Formats: sequence, structure tokens, C-alpha cells
Amino acid sequence: MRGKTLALALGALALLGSPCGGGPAGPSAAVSLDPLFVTVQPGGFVDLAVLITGATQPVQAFEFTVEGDPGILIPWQALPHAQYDDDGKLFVAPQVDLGTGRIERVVDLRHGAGAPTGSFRVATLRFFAWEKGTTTVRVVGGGLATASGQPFDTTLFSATVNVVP
Amino acid sequence: MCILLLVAGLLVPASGAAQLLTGDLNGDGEVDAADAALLPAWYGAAPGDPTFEPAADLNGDGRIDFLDLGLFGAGFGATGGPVDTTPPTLFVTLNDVPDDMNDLLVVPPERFQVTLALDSAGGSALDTASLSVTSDQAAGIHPAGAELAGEFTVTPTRAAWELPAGSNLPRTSHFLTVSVRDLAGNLASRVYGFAVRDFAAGAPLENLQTVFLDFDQNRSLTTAVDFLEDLREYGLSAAAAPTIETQMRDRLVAEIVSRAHPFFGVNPDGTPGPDAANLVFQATLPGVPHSRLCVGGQSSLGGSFLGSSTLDVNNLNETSDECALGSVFGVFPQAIDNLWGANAGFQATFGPLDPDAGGTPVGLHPLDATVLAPGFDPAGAPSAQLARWSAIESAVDTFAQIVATAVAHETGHLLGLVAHGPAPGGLWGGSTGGNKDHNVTPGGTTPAPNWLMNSGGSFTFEEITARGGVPLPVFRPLNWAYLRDRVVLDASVTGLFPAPTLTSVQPASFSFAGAGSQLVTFQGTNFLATPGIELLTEGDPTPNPVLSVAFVNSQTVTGIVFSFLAPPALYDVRLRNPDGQEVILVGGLEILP
Repeated sequence: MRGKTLALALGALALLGSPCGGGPAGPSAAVSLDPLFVTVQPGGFVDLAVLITGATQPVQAFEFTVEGDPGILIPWQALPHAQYDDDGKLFVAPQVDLGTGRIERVVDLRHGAGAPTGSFRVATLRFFAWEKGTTTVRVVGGGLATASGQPFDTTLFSATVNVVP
Repeated sequence: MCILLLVAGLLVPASGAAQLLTGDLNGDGEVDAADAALLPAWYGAAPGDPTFEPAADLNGDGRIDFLDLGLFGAGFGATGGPVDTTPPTLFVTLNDVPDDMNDLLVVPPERFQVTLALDSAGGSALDTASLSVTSDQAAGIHPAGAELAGEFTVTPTRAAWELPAGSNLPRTSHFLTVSVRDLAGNLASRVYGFAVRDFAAGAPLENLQTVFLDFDQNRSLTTAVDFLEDLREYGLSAAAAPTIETQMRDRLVAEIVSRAHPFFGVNPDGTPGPDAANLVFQATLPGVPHSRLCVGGQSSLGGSFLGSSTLDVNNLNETSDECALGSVFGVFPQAIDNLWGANAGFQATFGPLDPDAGGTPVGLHPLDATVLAPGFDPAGAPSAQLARWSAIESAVDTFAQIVATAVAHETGHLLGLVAHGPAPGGLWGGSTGGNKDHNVTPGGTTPAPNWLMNSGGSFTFEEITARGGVPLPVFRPLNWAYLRDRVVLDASVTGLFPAPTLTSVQPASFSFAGAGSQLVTFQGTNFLATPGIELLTEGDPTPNPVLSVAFVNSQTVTGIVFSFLAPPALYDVRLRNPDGQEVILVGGLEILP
């Protein structure tokens, strides 16, 4: 995927982009998991929203794979988010890999014009808190697409989940 | 200033007349829910995947992913686009043999492949469910005319059916009628003909062919076996470090064997892969009948001969010995330097080791004992160790791959590649010059693709080592079909003629009555000039020939039955056309006492 993984957010999001003929930069956005810090008890669920911020062009489609520590968090499911989704479902069924702790192929699109720019949530990821411990949940694959099929330059932010009794 | 235009309903180029709206996957002029319902089945696929539909790769980057989804989403809701009127393309062949070589293929009665190449031709996606395949002849359990599409494994770009063992197809001409539609309903249809015959002397690889790679000969009559001299030539070992030399020899032999196997679909360890030729290499003397190919030294034919072996069409000799005639036949690594020594990749690979290039041979460098130790971990090694380890690994990789490729190539000759001339008598092998026994195009030139049985002098360093993004050579489809016993070499098949029928013999009953012979007239259909006719009778295993057969026309032939060849009996009459098709008229002739 095109992008850079940074440590937890420490201030303003630095958007990456490349010059376009000396004019405006190419499409860029930051992708983070919301909330960035969360604490949950073993046996409970934790929901993390995939949050897009600073999208400089309409986000027509996206795909993400998100990974946590499978010894602490069991990947459970992914759901569309009302701030983005326009048909009540993700585009394809996400795949949950218990071995790697991944929720793979979280994909959705906006049908037609009016795809959002700026900041909005696109999906919700649900994990089951299995064992106490601390794990980082991060985006490990995918990206955002413009209406012309171009990829965004993305800056990625991970979240920290503490499972404590 | 850079202005990005975001326009719904972008047009995409198409090879046909219609330029469909982007995302109009069913070609109805609209991008709507019907198109959206199609996409998930293809999402994530790349060429070669069974779910890759080129029509859904909207940006043409070879993957159906979120970038295509961006284009699709942007175009969603567009209407008024052109309706797809361009039919898909459909290519019918056997065993993936390309169009310029499949005019007259002969295959055995079972276990060959019918292969279809499908393409939406820039229009709407293929409707794979619409595929229809019928044959004018029985095909396995299916009677003539039955729908065969259900037997095929179908993807948006390819459909294939391997006739199962025991299919026992009629030994005659077969004509397939194939059709497919795209989602807009445009029809493509083809009729394709081929012939079915038996192998004249058994399939070339019906028995497991064991090939003994003999690395231990000293045909150059020097102080060391030829293969060790090769290793020293390239700095892969040194006589002064015998323990490491033995280690390197054993490793390279193992690497060569394991790398030669996959050319034949065999797993590196010698076990058969899912679609493997019936062959195994061994580097120790096999306890079973085998052919032998020597590896090492320099060819007596010249310093640039990397290999040479005997062409054995139909693999009639399963125990050939390619070490017997001095150093004429075998694989000769000494030629590597002569062929590619000026190549920058060659120099970069062997330079650090080759003493002639100022390198330090394996075994003589102070770090070699460390980097060649079994537990050496390059990941955590100091830079000097890593550099030496990398130099050795690069040379081992390159040397082993070149020799393994040459072994596979020479073994191809041993098995019958490349039989001279076009199919069905040959396999499109050349018969003169450097292309003798090697692949040629129908125009007689060396093929451009990196086929393993192209002439030896045609390989670049990159092509034989898979460098610079060039894949390793592979067998050309017609060669591979031969190695898998999926094609029959039969020069007697000169066209796709219908099978003969035999309806009457006149006189149908007679007595020689003291005469020595009797003129007989045979009538039927589809006779070719000039058939052979034999009389068969129970209890006599030897057919009795009818002599002086004369072709009158396609319905009539005459012949003379001699009394000394055909004693009184009730005979079945077998008529065989020159193309091998035959018919038997049971009880067709009775010779009275």
C-alpha cells in the first residue's frame, strides 16, 4: 500500500503528497483508528472506527486490512459506517483470520457523485478481548481511491488497546 | 495548476467499436445495481486467478481492486452509454497449442485437454454460464451431440477439460462446436477439428523415465573428475580445500537435480507435481533401467557447446547412454564462460570467486568456514561475512540454474524434443542448422518466447538464469503436450477426413474352384487413395492381406484375394484408409471350399 505508518498521533496530521505539475498536491489523507487508546475487560468487545481525516479529494472507495495481536484480541467482524456507506453493506464480505489476528479486505464504495472529502468514518471493526495485555491495532494493507481510480497518499495511525481485568 | 477532472461515466477504450461506460460490466449502456452485483465475485483477482475478469479491471493495471472500485463508484448511475455489440473472442484448441500450430493436431483417445481461451474483447464481461461445447463424436461417457460444457473448468478467460482415462474416443476426426456469449448477449462461436489416433508404439512417457545425472566421470582424462574441474574453473571450489570442495560439490549436485525437476512439473524432491511428466532425475546410480546423462567438462564439439544429446523421437530408447561417445554428448559447464563470460551479470556473479578474475575461490577465503557452516545466519552477520556469503550464494544460484536448465534441455532431446517438422508428424522442430532438433516457428525461425527447447545459442544470460525480470524458460505448449502424452505423432494423418464405411463386398461368397485368385470389389464411403484391406478370421491371429488394391473412387475399391493367403473361412473385412481410420465389415466375405 502507498503510505507511511507513524506512531501514535502527536499533534497535527502531516499529510503526504507529491507535487502535480507544480500545482496542487495529489490526493492525500490520514487514516487512523478511533479511539486511539481504549481499555476493555477480558470477555468484552471493542469497536474501532476507521477514521479518515484531511481527505483532499472525494474518497470514492477504500480497502483496508487491519491487524492486532491474536493472543489478546480476536478479530470478530467489520461493519459499514453510516458516515460513509450508502447501501447498508460493505462491498465484499470481510475475511477474519484468527491466526494472524487480521480482519482482511474491508472494502466499500460510494455509488455515484457526492463521495465525501475531509473527515469521516468509513467502517467499524469489532474485536473480542481475549486475554489481558496491550496490543497495537494497525492498518497493514489497502488504501483509498479517488473517483478517477487514483490512490491516495495515506498517513497511517495505529491504536492501542489495553485489555485489563 | 493541476486540475483533476472527476467525471461520472468516463469512457474506456475498447478494441471493438463500442466504448462502454466505465463500469458498464453487462454492456447495457448503464452503470447500475446489476453491474454492482457482478463485481464482488471478481474483486481481488489478478491475471491467472480463476476469478479474474478483464472487463472488471477498469484501470487495466492487472488487478481488480479498490482503485477499480473508485472508478466504478464514480461512474455509478450513468446512463445513455452505448450498448455492447462486440462479440467476445473465442479460441478453441487442444493442450493450449497456439493458433499457428493447431491446424491438424492428433491426440490419443484419452487424457488430452480441450482448452478454450476467452476474452471479453474490451466489451462487457463474459457470461461463463453460456458456454456451450458439443462434439460430432462420442466423448467419453457423452454421446455425440451432447452438451459438454459441464465438464469444463471455466473462468472468465479460460475453459479446460482433460478427457479422463478410459475415455476411449473414436479413432477418427472430431469436430467441436463451441459458443459463448458476453453479458450483453453477443455470441461468439467456433468449429474446431482434430484427429484421434492411438500411439503407434506406446506413449513416449507411459513408463517412468529415470534419468541418471552422472557427475563423476573424467572424460577429459585429467587429474580430477570433470565436474570438480568445472567448480574450480568458476571459483566454486578449490583443490586446496578438499573438505569444502566436497561440501560444495554435494550441494551443487543437489541444487541442480532439484532445479531440473520443476521444468518437468516434478517437485524438487522428485515427487510428481499436480501436472508432471513421468520422469525423475537421480544423481546416484539408479537401481532401475535408466538413461544416463553426464554432467561436467567441455564438449569435444567445441568450447561453446553447453550440451548435446541424442534426439529420440517417441522416446523409443528408455535406456540411452549419453556418456559413451567421448565428450560428444552430455552437459558441459565449461561452456558457460565461453557463452556469457562477457556479460556484466556473469562477471558480477563469478568475479568475486573466479581466480582468473582476481576472485578468491570458495574454500580459500578466511571467512568461508564461517559462512558455509550449517548454522550460519546471514541476518545477524557482520557486513564482511554477509558480503562473502552473498557472493557464494549468488554464484551457486547462477551456476546451478544454468546447469539445471541445460540438463532439462538435453533431457528434452532424449525424450523426443523437438521432433522435426509440423504437427502431426512433428512437433515444429527444425531440421537444419542451429535450429536442428529445436523449436522453430511456422516461418522457420527461432521463437521469440523463452521456450526451453529453443536452440541453445539463442539464450541470453538473463533468459537462462531468470534475471532482470525474465522468467525461466519453459516447454512450449506443444512440447509439454508431448511430454504429458497428450499428443500423437502420426504423419499419416494428412487431413480431417471422415471415417470410411464398408457396406458390401462383391462377390460376398465364392470358391476359388481351382483358381489361384479372385477379384473382389469393395463398396462403401469415404475411401481414400489407397486403403489397405485385410481379412480376419477367428482362430487366425495373422490378418490375411488383400493384394493389388486399386482405388476406383471414394465409394469403390478393388483387390485380389489369393488362395494361398486366404483359406476357406468366414472372414471379417477390415478396410483401413491411409490416415489410419478403419472400418470392419463383420462376416463380409465367405470363401467356400
